[in-house]
Amino acid sequence: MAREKREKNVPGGTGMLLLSLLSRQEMYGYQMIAALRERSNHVFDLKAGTLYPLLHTLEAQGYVTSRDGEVGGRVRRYYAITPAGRGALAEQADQWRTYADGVRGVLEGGVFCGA
Amino acid sequence: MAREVLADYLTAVGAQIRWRRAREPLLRELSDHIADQAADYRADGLEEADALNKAVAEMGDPEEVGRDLDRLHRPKNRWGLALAVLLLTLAGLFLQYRTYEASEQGMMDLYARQAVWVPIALALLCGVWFSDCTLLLRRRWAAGLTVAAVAWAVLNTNGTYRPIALYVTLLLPVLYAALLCRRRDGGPVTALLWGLAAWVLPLPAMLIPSASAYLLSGSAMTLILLAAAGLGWFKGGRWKNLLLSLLPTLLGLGVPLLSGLRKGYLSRRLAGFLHPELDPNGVGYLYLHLRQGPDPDFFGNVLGSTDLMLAFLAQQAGRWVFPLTAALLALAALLLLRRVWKLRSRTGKLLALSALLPLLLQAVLYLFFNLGYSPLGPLSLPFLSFGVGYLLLNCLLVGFLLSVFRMDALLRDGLANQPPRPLPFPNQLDLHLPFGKGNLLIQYRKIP
Repeated sequence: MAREKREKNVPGGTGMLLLSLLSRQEMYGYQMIAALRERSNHVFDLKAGTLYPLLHTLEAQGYVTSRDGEVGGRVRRYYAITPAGRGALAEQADQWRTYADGVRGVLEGGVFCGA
Repeated sequence: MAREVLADYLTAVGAQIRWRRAREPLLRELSDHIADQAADYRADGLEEADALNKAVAEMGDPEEVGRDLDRLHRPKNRWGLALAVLLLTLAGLFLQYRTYEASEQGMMDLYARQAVWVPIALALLCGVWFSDCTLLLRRRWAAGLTVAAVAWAVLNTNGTYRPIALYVTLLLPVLYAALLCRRRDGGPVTALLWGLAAWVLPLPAMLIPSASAYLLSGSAMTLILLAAAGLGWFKGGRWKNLLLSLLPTLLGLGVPLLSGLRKGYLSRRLAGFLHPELDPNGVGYLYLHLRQGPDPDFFGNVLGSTDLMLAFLAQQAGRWVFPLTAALLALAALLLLRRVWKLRSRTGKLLALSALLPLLLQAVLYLFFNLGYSPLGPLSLPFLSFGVGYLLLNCLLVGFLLSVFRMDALLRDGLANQPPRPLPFPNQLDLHLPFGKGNLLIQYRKIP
C-alpha cells in the first residue's frame, strides 16, 4: 500500500519506462523485461506478472498496439507504441524531469528564493 | 514435477479469468514468456526442471496476475446500440403501419409478414452478436465465403433468388475487410490491387442489376481500404499507399463499369435527375415532385411505396422530417465512428467499419432519394423502411458490429487471427491448452 501511494506521487512510473522502450522499436514481453533490466543496470527487474497486465492496460488506453508475429516457428505478441503513446510518453517524461530536478535541488541544496 | 508447477501456475491464472474466450490467448502469452525465461536459464547452465521451476517462480502471484488480466479482458457489450436498434425496428413497424394503412395496394398483408419477421431478425442479430467474430479471420473462411458469395450472386442474378443475391453483395464489405485483415505483408502494389478488388468484387450487383448496390458495396470497400492505408496497414509511405488505394476510384473504374453495363438506362436516369423539367411526365416525374415538396396528388399515386417512406411522412407531418432524420443520422454516425476509432486493434477498426459503412451509406442514399437528389434508387432505410430481406441483412451487419465491439480486448493484428499453433517449448515439449466447459485442462506431449 505504501509503495502504491509513493508511486502515485511520482510522475511516470513503469508505464513510462515501457513506453520509452517501445518508442525505439516494437518488442515482445520477455524482450522488454530483459531490456529494462539491462538498461537500468538491474535496478528495474520487472516480474512478468506485473508486466502483462500493465501492457494490456496501456493497450486499452490506446498507448500501445499489439500484433502477432512469427519468429522461428513461434508466434509472439509484439507491442508497438502509438502516436497517442508517444504523446503520453513526452508528457510523462517532462513531468519526470521537473520532478527529478526538484528532488535534486532539495538533495543537493538548491537556490532558496522568497526570503 | 516442474511441468506440474507450470500447469498449476497456468491453472491458477486461468481460474481467475472469467471470459472463457480470453483464457487461451492470455495463457499462451504467459506460457510463451515462461518458455523464453526457461530457455535463458537453461543457457546459463541450469537443469531443465530447475530452469522451468525458476521461470515459473519469476512470474509472480498467479491469482493476482489472473485477477488483473480478468479485469482488463471483459466482453464489452454495447447495450445502448442494441437498444437503439430495437427501438428503431419498433418505430419502423409503427411508421410502416402509418404509411400503409391508407394504402389501397394491399400492403397490409406484406406489413403483417414484416411484423412476423421482426423477432426472427432480432434473434439473428443476437446470435451473431454473441458469436465469435474472429471466426472470419481464421483459416481461409473469409476467402471461401467470398468466392461462394460472389459465385452464388452471379448464378442467381435472375429468378427467385435475385433479391438474396443483392443482399449478398451488400455483405461483401465484411468479407473484404476480413480478407484484408488477414494480409498485412503487402506494400503499395498490394494497396493498388485491393483498390481494384473493391470495384471488381461487387460486380454481380450489376448483373442483378442494381447500380445502387454496386456503388454502395464498392464505396464501402474503398473507404475500408483507405482506413487501412491511413492506419498504416501496408508497408511503405502512408500517403503513397492512400493514393494508390484510391487510384482505381479516381480513375473512375466504377463509372466505366457502370456505364458499360447499363449505359442506356443510366444515362436516361441521370438526364432525369439533372433536368427533370425536360421530361416531367417520364423519368423526371419523380425528381420534380420530390423536390417540390407537399403535393397530395403525387403522394396519392406513390402511397405505399417502400422507397418513399420519408417523403410520405414529410408530406403528412412537414418537411422537418428531413432535417431531423439527417441530424439523427449524423449523430449516430459520429457516435459509432468515435466508438470504432477507440477500438484497440486496427483489425477491430476495419471489421467494425465493414459492418457500419453499408448501414450508414444505405441511410444516406435513402435520405437523398427521398429529397429528390439522388440519381440512384434507394435500398433501404435501415430498420425503419419496409423489407424483410433488408431487415435480416441489416440485423446481420449490426450483430457483427456488436460482436466486434464485444471481442475488442481479444482482437489483434496479425498471426493471432490464425488458429493456435503448437507452441515449441525449449525442452522440446509441446504445450497444449485445451479448455472444457469452464475448466482448464493442460496436456503435454513430446514432439517426435
